[in-house]
Amino acid sequence: MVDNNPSGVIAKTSALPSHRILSVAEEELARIVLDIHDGPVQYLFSALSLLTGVQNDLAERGAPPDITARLAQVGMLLESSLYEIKYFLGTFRPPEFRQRSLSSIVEGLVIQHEEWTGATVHLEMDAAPEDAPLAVKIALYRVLQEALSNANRHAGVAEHYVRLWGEPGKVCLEVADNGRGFEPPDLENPIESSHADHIGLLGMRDRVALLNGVFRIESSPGQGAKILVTIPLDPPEKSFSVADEP
Amino acid sequence: MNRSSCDRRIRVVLADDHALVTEGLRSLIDRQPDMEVVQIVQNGRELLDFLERAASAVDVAVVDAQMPSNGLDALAEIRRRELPVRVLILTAFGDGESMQKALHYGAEGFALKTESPTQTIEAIRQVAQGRLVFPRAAQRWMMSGGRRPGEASALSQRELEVLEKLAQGSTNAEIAAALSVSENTVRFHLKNIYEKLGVANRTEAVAWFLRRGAAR
Repeated sequence: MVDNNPSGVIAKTSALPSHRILSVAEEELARIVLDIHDGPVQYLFSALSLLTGVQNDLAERGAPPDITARLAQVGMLLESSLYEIKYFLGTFRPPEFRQRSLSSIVEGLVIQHEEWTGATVHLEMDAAPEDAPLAVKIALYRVLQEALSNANRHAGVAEHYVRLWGEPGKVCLEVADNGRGFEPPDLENPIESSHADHIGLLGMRDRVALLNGVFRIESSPGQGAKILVTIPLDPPEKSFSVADEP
Repeated sequence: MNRSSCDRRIRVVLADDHALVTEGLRSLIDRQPDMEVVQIVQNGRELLDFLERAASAVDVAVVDAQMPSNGLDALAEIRRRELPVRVLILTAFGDGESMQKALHYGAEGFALKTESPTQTIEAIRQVAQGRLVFPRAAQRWMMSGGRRPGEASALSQRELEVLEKLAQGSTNAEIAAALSVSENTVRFHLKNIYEKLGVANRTEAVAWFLRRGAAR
């Protein structure tokens, strides 16, 4: 790998602190993903290729059954490792946020979600701003990822609805399902015991809040769930309580 | 694509900068009765150099998307130069963006290093037979308007015939034989088809055709 910045997410020093936080986090993720790509994935894939060859050889020569069985077990372990890495890389690898439009990034994530879960996503995009700031793209991507993952794990339905649209000065995202729904927690005052249960929701809320956006959950038991996000495209300069760089 | 008979072995080029990967795959391919490795290269530039000289001696190029002088750029260049070889993108990244890009740049197939290498071998076989080998969700996306090429009315009857054969997985030689024209004429028609539809390659042209069929 010769590209030192494959994610293209390194923040400009002139960016707002809140924007920098989001892009630096993605940059770190990209580095971790690359290390796993360049090392373990190549080794495991090669090992599995060699092992398959050995298994074929032994099958031709009529190897003792216990050896065949143990090698099959080794193969399964290697495949399981790759399988887990596949989902790790797919989840955490940042798309090329800088180079790609918001709608293309959203489309990519939807394809991935459908492929991994077998769900059908009804995607609607209407006048989505193509040149959204980097941090806005990152926040929307990660929120959509979490919301789709929640829908898949908790809603109990295989059809999910995603809508991305633009309004003057802002971009809006809606992720909905007609599944089993839930009682939305009070994210402003989460009780200690429920904090872990809502870590995903809190993460979404925090990303949106960093960009002065609005994050809303509409749901009740049996009534499906809807996540609504609105993010201004041009957040005011001094609206964050985050220390600026010296 | 260049195979004049079905019983010839599938000739494969492996392009990957990880020697362990190419050696592992080579050892597997060498065991297959119906395929052989004709060349191993380590980056996009070497791949293009080799194909420029010997594309007609290759059926499928297995191309690592992440190798130096990038596999996807090499793929785009293969299509631009109209080198007659089918391309299977091999990557560790099974995310949506990777699939989108492989489709966009005109790959015939997409295989993952995070899945069993025997799946890569099977993908080589299918790509060599003229199939598009992509995850189901990516194919659905492609056919449902993920790309927006031009209008059918711009195509001549002959061009539509060529496109139909292409969608059936025919090689240029097979299309030429079926329509009683030379391979050069087929290439000429294909070039016009690509231009009229605003697509870059065979994959996109076939996708356009299938989508049009589905819409009827």
